[in-house]
Amino acid sequence: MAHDYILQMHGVTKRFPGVTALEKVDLELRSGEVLALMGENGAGKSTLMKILGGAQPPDEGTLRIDGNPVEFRHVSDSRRHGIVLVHQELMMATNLDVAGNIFLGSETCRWGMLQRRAMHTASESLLRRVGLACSPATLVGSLTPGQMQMVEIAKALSHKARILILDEPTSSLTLTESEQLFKIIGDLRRQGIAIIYISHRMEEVQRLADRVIVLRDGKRVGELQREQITQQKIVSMMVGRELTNWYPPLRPAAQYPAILEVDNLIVPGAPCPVSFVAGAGEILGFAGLVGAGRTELMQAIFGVTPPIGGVVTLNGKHFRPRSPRDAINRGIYLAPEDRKHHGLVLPMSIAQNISMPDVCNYKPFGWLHRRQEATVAKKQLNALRIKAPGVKYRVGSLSGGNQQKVVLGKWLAMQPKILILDEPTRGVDVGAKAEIYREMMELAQQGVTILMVSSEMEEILGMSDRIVVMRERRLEGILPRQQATQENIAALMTGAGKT
Amino acid sequence: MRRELGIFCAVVVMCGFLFWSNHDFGNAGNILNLSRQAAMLGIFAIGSSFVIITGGIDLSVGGIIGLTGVLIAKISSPSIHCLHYPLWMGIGIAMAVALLIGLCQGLLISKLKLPPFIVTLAGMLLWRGLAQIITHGGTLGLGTSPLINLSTEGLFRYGYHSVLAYPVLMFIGVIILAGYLLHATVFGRYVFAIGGNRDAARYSGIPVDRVETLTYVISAGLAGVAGICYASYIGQMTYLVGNGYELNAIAAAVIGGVSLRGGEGSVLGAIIGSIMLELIQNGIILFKWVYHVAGQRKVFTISSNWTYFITGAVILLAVLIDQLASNFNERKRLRRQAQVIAAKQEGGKTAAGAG
Amino acid sequence: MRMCPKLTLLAATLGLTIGLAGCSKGGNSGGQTGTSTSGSAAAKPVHVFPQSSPIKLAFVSNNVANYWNFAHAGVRAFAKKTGIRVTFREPAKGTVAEQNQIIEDLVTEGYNGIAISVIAPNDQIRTLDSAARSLNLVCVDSDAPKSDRLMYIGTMNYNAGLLMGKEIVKLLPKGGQIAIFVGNLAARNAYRRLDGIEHVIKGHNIKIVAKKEDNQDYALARSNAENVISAFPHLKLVCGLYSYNGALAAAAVKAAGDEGKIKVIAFDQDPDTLQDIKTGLINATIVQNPFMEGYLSCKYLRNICANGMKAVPASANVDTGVQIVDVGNLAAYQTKLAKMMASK
Repeated sequence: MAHDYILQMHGVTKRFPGVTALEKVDLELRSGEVLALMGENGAGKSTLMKILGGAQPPDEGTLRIDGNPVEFRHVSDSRRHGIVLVHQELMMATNLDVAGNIFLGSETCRWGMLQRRAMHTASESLLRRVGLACSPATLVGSLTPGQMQMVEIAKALSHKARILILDEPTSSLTLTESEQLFKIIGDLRRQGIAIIYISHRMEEVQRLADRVIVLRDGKRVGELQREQITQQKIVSMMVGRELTNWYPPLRPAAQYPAILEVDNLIVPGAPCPVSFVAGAGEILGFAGLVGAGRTELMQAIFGVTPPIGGVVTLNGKHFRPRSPRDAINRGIYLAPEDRKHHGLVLPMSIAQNISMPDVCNYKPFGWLHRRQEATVAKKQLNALRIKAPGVKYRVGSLSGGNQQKVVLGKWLAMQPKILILDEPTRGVDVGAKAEIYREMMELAQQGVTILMVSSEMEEILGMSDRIVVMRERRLEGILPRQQATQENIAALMTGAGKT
Repeated sequence: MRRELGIFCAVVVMCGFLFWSNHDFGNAGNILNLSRQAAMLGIFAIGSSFVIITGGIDLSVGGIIGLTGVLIAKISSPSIHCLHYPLWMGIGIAMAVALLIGLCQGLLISKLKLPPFIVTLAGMLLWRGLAQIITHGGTLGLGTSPLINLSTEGLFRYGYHSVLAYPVLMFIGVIILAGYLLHATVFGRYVFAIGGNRDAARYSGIPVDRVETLTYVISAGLAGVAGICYASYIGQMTYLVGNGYELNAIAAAVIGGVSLRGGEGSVLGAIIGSIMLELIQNGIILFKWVYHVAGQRKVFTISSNWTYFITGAVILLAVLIDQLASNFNERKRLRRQAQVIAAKQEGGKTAAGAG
Repeated sequence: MRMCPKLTLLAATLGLTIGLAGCSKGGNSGGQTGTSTSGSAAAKPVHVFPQSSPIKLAFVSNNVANYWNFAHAGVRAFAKKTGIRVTFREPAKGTVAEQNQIIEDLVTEGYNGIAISVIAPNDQIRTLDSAARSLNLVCVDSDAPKSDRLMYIGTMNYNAGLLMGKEIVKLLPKGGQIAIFVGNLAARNAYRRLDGIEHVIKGHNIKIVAKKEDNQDYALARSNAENVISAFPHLKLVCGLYSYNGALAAAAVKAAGDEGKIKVIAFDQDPDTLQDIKTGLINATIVQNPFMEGYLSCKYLRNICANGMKAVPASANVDTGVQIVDVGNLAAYQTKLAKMMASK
C-alpha cells in the first residue's frame, strides 16, 4: 500500500527558539490528488511547506518520495524530485518577459549566449498547457495578477513538477481568473500531478479538494475525505481549542461612552468605506485573515497612509489624519505590526526610542534634556518590566517581547487616548505576552481606548470587549462579546457565513 | 565612539612616526599648514556627514565649492572680467546661492523621492558647469581683494605665523555649531533616527522630509563656507576648483566612522577623518628615512604617486577593522545568548523531571 | 544590502570626476615643440589660390583661456593691417570631438587656411590630414608633427626650459635645493621645459629635491608647495611650470614667512603672477608670446596661400620666442601687453 503514495511525510517536527512550529506531523499524498491544507495563521502550514520545498530542514521526521527516503537540504533538492512551490506573493522579475521568467535560473544557453528562440518555443507550449493566451515576449509587469499566477504554474511545469504546492493562489485573483485557475487545476490533476492547495476560502476547498488535512498549533488535528467535507467540520477542527489561562479575567460587559468615531473612512485600495465606533476604555478587537485590510485601516487612522475620504471624530472633534504627527498630536498612537521595520530604530538606545515621538518636549533652549529623557525611559522600563541592563542599552539587542514593550513604552510615556496595537504579541514569548495583556487591561481601566489587531483567535476572544471582523478589506461585522464564538468569527473571516 | 578612538590613535601614531622620521614635521609652519588644510576639508566633510548619517549622499559639494569661489571672484574681485562689487556682496550672494542649491536638492530628494545619488550627481555637473560658463572656461583672479588674506591671517601671532588662521577659526565655529546641532538637539536626534530607520521615524511622527531637506541645506551651506576658504587659499578661480572633493568628504567621513548605511557617525569622526586624509598627503612628502649603505648616507622618500594608493588602503583598513571588531562583538553576544537559553532549557528539564 | 548599489555608483562618479579633470588644460598654455621636422614638407599638399578672390583664414585654439585673448589680439592686428578677415574659434569644453567638429565645419565652409593649436596631436591626425587635402594647415602653440600640417609656429618649450634654467643659475650662484611644481609631468610641454632646466643647471651644484604634480587641482598645487617647504628647510627656490603654479607657490612661500629666503620662478603672464613680480614675491617669469603666435600664424598662412612654401623656413618651425619678465622690465612688458589688447 505504501508505494501507492507519491509523498509521505512522517513525524515531522520543527522547533524555533521559543516555539514549536510543527510537532510530529504526518502528511501523505497520492498522484493526481488535490489535498487542501487548512489551519489558522500560525498553525504551521507555511513551515510544513517550507520543509517540503527544501527551504528549511526538519528537526525530526522523515520524507519519502515514491517510498524512497529522501533528505532535502536545499530548494534544488526538492526541485529535483519534482516539488515546486508557488508562493502567495508572486516572485517574478516584472522587468523580464514571460519566457524570461519561466526559464529564470534555468536558461537554455549555448556558449553562454541565451537561446531566446528555443526558450520562446518551449514557453509557448507551456503557456498552452495552462491556457494562457499571450505571447512569451509579453512583459510580465503588464500582466494581471491572475495571468502572473498562470506564468508561475507554467514555470512549475517547466521544472517537470509532480507535486505542485499552491499557497493561497486566489488571494489576489478576480472571480473569472479564479475560475480559470480551477479549470487548470482540474487539467493538471488529470495529468497525474499531485497538488497541495493552501487556502482559507471554504467554498474553494469544498469545490476542489479530494481530501482536507487540518493543522492547529503545529499539530495535525484531523483529516476529511471528499464526501465528509463540510464548512462546519473544518471550522470546528481549525479553532477547536480551549482558552489558556494567561488572559486576565474578563471584565463584565459594559456600555462604554463613545469617544472615537470612524465614519465612512476610505482607505486607499479598499473597495468600500469603513465605519465603526469605539468607546472610552474599550478594547476593540479586529479579527480577520492575513490581508483582510486591518493593518491598512489602522495605518489610515494613524495617518501613515492618509485616508482619501471620510472623517475621524475624536472627542467630538472632526479631522482626517494627514500624517502620523497629526494623529499623535491628538493622542492617537500606533504600535505597528512590523516593529523591526516600523516601530523601532534598532541601533539606537531604549531611552532614545522611547523619547522619539516626544523628544521635542525635552528641550530647554534647543538642548536635548538627556537626564529627563532617561528619567522618563526609566519609568517605563520599570512599569513595563523591560528586561535590559539600562536605558542606554541598544534596542536591537533586546528579545522580541522586550522590544514590543519598548514600543508600548514609547506611547505610554505620552498618555494615549487611543492606542492602536497591531499584532501586539507577535514573536513575543509567553511570559511577556501575559504582561502585555495585563498592561492593556490596566490601560483600558484608565479609560484608554485600545484597537487591537490580532490574527490569534485566542487573543481576540481573550481580550476584546467587542470584535470587528474584516474580510477582503471590508468590515464584515461587529460582534459583541456575548455573541462572539470562535465559530462565528471564523465563519465571518472566511466568508463561510455567507450562502 | 570606538571607531573615533581607533582612528584617533592611528593619527597619533602616524604623527609620532612622522616626527621620528623627520623632525621638520613638528615645525610650527608645518603644523599650522596641516591644520589649515584639514580645517578646509573638515568644514565640508562635516556637512557631508549630516547627509550620510540620514542614509543619503551628497556628490554636489565639490561643484558647490567651485561655484561659490567663482561667484565670489566674479562679483567682487577687482581684477579684469569681474564686476568689482564689494566683497561682502560677493560672499553674501555666493552663500545664498549655495544654500538655495541645497534647498532645491533637498526638496527634490525628500518631497519628490528622487534618489539622492542621482540628484546630487546631476548637481555636481550642473554647478561645475555653471562655474565653467561664468569663467568662460578660464581663470578669474582675486587680485588685490582682501579675501586673499583670509587663509593666511588669523589670531595669536607666533613668530611669523598666526596660530589660528581664519579657516581654522571657521572650522572651530563649524565644529561647535555642528556638534551642538547633531549631538545635543532634537534635530540631531532626528537625523540619526532617520538614518537608523526611516519608517520607524515616520511612525514616530518625525517630520522626515523637513529634516532630510535641512541636512542637504547644511551640506551645501558648509560647502559654500569651504568654497570661500578655498577661494582665499588659491587666489584664482577656475571651474575646476574643488573637482572631486565630494569624494574626499565621503572618504574623510567614512574613515571617521560615519556609516554609508546611515544612522552612525559623529562630528568628531569627520574631524579626525579629515585630519587623517591631510596627514597622508603631508606625510608622503615629509616622510624620509636616512640609512647608510657602505658608509654612504642615503635617504629614502615616498613618491607622490603613492598618494591615491595609500589613501585607498587607509579607507579600506578603517572599514575592515571596524567590521571585524563588530563581527567579533556580535559573535560574543550570540554566544552569551546561546548560553542563557541553554541554561534555561536545562532548568526547565530538571523542573519537568521533578514534576 | 542597501550599500551595494550606492558604492557601485560611487565608483562610477569617481570615473566621471577623473574624466572631468582630464578634459581641460586648466588655462595653461600647453605646447608641443616640433623637434625639427625633416624636409618632407615638399610631399605635403600645398594649396595656392588665385589672387583674384579674397582668402578666408581661421584660427582655432585648444580651449577657452586668458592666454588666447592675446593670440586673438595678434590675429586682430593682422586682420586690421591686411584687411583679410580671420575667424577666431575656441572649443568651449576643450575636447577633441569639439575641435574636430570645428575643423570639419571650416572645411565645408570653404576656408583657405587654418592655424590650429592641436589638443591631442596623435589622435587627431586623420581629421587634420583630411582637412589638409583641401586647405593649408599650420600648427600653432601645440604641434602635430606627424600630420600633414605645413609648419609649426609657437614656443619651443625646450628653449623656454633653457631660459628658465639660466635664470635659476643666475638667482642661485652658489647653488642649493630647488623644487618643481607642475600640473602633469607626463604632458610633453611640461617635461620638455623640465628637460631644458635640467640641462642648464647641471654642474652648478643645484639639486631638484622635489617634483610635485597637482593635476590642475589649484588647492593641491598650493598645499603641495606648503608641504614641500616644510619638508625641506634648506630650500632655496621654487619653480612653477604651469601658469598657475608660480602664484600658488609664491603664496605658500609668503604664508611660511620665507619671503626672500625662497626665490620663485613662474611661467606665463597670469595677472597674479605679474602682481607678485611687482611686490617682489616672484623673482621672474618666463612669458610666451601668444600675440606673435596669432599674428605670425596668419601671416604665414596668407603667404602660403599666395606663394606656396617659398617664405617658410626649411625646418618648418618658427619660434615665437620666450622672454624673461622680472621687476626690471615689468612696467615695459605690461605697457606692451596693454597696447596689444588695445589694438582692436
